[in-house]
Amino acid sequence: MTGKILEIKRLKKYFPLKNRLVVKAIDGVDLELYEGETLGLVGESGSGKSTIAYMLVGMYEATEGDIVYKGENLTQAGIYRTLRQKREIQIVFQDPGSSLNPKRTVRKSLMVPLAVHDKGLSREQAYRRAEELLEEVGLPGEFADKYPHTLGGGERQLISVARALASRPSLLVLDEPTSALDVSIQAKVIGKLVELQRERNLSYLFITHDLSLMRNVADRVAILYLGRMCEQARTSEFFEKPRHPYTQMLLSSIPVATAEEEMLKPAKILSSGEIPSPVNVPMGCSFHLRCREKMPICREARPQMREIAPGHSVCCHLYEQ
Amino acid sequence: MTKGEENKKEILLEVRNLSVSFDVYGKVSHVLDGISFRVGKGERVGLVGESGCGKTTMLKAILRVLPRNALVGGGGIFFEGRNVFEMPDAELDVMRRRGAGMIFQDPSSALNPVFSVESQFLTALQYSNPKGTPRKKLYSLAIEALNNVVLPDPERIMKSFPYQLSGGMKQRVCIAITIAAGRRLMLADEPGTSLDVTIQDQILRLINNLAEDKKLSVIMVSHSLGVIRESTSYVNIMYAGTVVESGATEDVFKKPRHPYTVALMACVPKLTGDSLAKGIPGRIPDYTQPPGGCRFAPRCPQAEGVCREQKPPHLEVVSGHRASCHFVRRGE
Repeated sequence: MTGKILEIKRLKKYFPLKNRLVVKAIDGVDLELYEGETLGLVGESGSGKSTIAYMLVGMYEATEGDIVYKGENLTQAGIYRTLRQKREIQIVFQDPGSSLNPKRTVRKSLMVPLAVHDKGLSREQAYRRAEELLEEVGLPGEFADKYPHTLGGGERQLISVARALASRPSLLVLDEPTSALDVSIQAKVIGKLVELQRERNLSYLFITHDLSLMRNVADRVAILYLGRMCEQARTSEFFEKPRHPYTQMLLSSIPVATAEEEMLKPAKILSSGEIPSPVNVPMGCSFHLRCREKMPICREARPQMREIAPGHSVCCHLYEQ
Repeated sequence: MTKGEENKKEILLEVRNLSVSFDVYGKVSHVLDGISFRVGKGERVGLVGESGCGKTTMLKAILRVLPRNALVGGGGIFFEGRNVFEMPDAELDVMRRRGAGMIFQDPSSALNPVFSVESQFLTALQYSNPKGTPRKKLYSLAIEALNNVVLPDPERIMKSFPYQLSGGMKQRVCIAITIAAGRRLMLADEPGTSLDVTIQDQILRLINNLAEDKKLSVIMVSHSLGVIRESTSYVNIMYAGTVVESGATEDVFKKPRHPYTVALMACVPKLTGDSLAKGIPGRIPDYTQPPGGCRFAPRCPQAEGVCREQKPPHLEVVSGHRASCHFVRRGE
């Protein structure tokens, strides 16, 4: 881990609805990502995980705040980024069934980013480069002439990874890359991702709802709830000393497969309530309706992110003294 | 659980050596291959395996709702002692209406979006109650069931349309519809998979409580080992249409014997942070030409000649814990 590659500051994304209602999908998020690091961004559905991913790759324009990548402010460029900025940040989507064009052969899908980002390549070179890309992610080169529907889910997802790597990015946004896969296939894809990261010093923003997976993959974990950050810490510290009541509830809800893991979960906290609608975010702390530690102040004032130990920040009134 | 206790328990459902194949454009896919298990009254039994291993086919067979191209090759399913495949239509109807019901993975598509909860709920209840039961009586049954699944303000829920409810609430409504008719068996097909972990936790807890309070038997189908471990007392590990290992959930998870179970456990990301296996090589076999011997043999690190030729017996390793592998020895 060396330099800071990405910094997100007070990022906001609002979607206006009819009747003057506003969905506050992202409401003031700060994040940092270092070179060669995996940051696990975890949250329930509707917490805004994917919105952040889409803003990073320029699919959405931020409402407010900054996305600073290697010292350049991408928010000002909005969706009109330079080719180099687009080249360096790539994304892998959740469902490889719908993110690969069913009418194109794998080769054709892989040649598109090559034609955009690798203009020096001749058509023949790009033709062969597609096969090399497949081999780089551990698939046989013959797959290049197949159509996506003839391949398994894990293979398709590796092809999406190969397509993202075609432009030689330094930051990969992985938006739930393995949640549609079986565990034995997930293990294969994750193994490959970890290997690629080590070889090329890639930085990963790994978006997921699976906390146990982050225990194995991430260097740091950040928890998102209703578009706001709850807790952020190094992985070992995060799982050993979770502080935010929401994090504790999440951890104690994970169904685990072994008795050893059971011991590591925080004492059983019965989960209650559901994530409220982002149109109608509760006043004060957005979690107070489901929180078992709630105090009068939680209803009134919005808590701020606070560093309580080196590298460990929590956004909760409990830790404000 | 000792063997004596197991025998004493009343059996609600028994699947005996069931084989199901499908005729797909002239090619026959042999999907289920000799599945046997039992479900006692009030017992929660798990079926766990990866996609394509035949979990859902198994559930469909129990309700006899297999597609038309399905062929039941052998064996039977006995619900309260009666073979489902030999039941006359009238009896089958009674079983479906009052005996066994199913809840699905995605509650949003299980409920009809253009009817209110009340209208669908009462229609379902009309079928499962004697003809001519007054609507008021049905309504009160529905309200009681909604209370049983811990939904606040059941009257308001009844008036709502599915889109006005969250995923967790919809799943609770589906569960309420299943239990309101006094069914004895619930087939739960991945009931929490499409929900968030905190909501999944609530739904699983609800099902566990219902099983205990109402003596409801549950067959829980999931691809998640964690879910099965936390919500069942007996588990069947499935691979490619066969049960490779079965036993009391605690025993199986503490000491898995079958090479497939061992490999699968190694692929599950763990909270302990133990390093992740690199997956299981190969893929699920082609069901039109399944391997002759053990179906896991082509992917198994321990496979030898005998595995490719002979089907392994479902051998009892220790009391109540069985595994189908040529290399598992009794008592080990």
